[in-house]
Amino acid sequence: MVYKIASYKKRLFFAFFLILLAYLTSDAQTLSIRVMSMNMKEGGKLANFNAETYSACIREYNPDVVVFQEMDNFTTRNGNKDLLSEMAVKLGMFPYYGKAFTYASGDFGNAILSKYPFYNARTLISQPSGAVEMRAYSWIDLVLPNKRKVRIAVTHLDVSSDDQVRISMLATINSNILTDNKLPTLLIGDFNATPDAETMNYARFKWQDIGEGTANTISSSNPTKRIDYVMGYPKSWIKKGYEVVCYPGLSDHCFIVADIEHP
Amino acid sequence: MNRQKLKTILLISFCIAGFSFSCKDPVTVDEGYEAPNPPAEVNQRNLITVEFYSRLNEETLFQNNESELVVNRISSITSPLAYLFDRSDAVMGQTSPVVEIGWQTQTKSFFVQNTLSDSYVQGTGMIVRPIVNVFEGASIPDTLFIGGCTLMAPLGNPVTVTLMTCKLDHKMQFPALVNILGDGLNTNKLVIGTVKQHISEDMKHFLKHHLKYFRLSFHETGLEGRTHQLFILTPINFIGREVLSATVGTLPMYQCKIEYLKTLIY
Repeated sequence: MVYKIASYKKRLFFAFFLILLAYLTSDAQTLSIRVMSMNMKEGGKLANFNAETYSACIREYNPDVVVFQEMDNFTTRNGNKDLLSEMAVKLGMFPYYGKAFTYASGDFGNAILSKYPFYNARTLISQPSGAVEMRAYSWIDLVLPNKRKVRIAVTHLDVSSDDQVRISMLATINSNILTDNKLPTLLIGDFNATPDAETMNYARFKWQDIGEGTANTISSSNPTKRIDYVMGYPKSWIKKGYEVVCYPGLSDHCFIVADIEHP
Repeated sequence: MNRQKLKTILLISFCIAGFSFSCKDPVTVDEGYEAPNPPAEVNQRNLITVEFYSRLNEETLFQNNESELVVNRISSITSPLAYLFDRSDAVMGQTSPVVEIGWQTQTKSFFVQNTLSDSYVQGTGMIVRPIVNVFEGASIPDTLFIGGCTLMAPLGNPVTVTLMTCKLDHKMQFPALVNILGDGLNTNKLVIGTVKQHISEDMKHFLKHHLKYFRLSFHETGLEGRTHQLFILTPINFIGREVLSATVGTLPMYQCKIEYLKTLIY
């Protein structure tokens, strides 16, 4: 009987050891990432579409991922160049361009630069009734060196005066980005809505406003409104740092640099 | 029981046993999936060309600024649907060769990683001409990375294909590959990749018994010192028709011609 109890204890200890080992070797490490959001103001017009000017700004903050709104691709306006790839070359990052619509013999839309390779990327477009123009939302899925995966999306909601247009866009985004998605997700960009707007009330049903209470983001020379956001899903992101940085020579929006973690 | 009776009983038992064995269903051997023969004639209008650059060994592809000639080629020969660069490894924070090629040729670049690191990543670069709305892949660290772009192939009638790539170094990757492809072989997923030579037969055997409606071909090359073999894996409505070996400067390149067979033949 004594022998049996000893054997049982041994087994129990062994099982506990295995569970502990599994826990220690699992992907339990914290997801920690630095993201940056930049509205390029008409494709980079304020800085004469100069890739080095924008790259220098990005380099200063060394983000893991940068999301862009209002990015031109081979337009007559930007001198027929691929500004995103040029910045990717300068910064040693991986580019993804998401087209919203054809513009000036080229393309207009959102874009993403990532320090790490991404294994999924999507762009979807939406233009609900009443929207001023077609808007895109794009996302990438990446696996970080510690094996944690994350989805990072960029959007630029319509500028219409009607909140219902943006809410409709957000509903589409939610259904496409969050359905069947188990990854911690960030939705970053220009929402064209202040925190007290109906658009943001709707957004907060699903998303966490990670930069809640932080500085205004527009205009870059005299910020009076907060319309650029880093939103997180599920609502368990931890803000470690959140800066709103303004470069009037680069954009009419201030940029966001955020250090965030997901347990 | 006398001797004669015993003999009779034994004989009857033997006959019954023999009869029952002979009436059993014949034992069937699962020979796995075999794709039907494709049409003998190649329809040139339905050929997709993909250029696959690879040393087919463990070395990184770009070693001495070989990308310049590749840039010239991509800028002048525009017929391939995509250009793949096996082992176009990237150093974090430094310009990736394939991103640079994309920028210089005014195309779009993608990268399918094969390892995970915060400093140096092995993988396959992909260059395509259009803006891509769907880059699709899977990342199972320590097991398998696979990815590719969904593109419209400009054939007789345009056909949407997802051109993917992966590198197979271990047998344990095969189940993951099958899981990921799943019904993908019914949705025009074409995989051009490399497999370590000594497991290519195992790959063939595994897919034969775990996947259906596919065609798999391996391509022999005369390249010295190679450790890997090029493979083309398609749904049965496609077929890897030909792989032409060439060099661009000093870089070995394989021009893969895949034919769209239009109708599904199950």
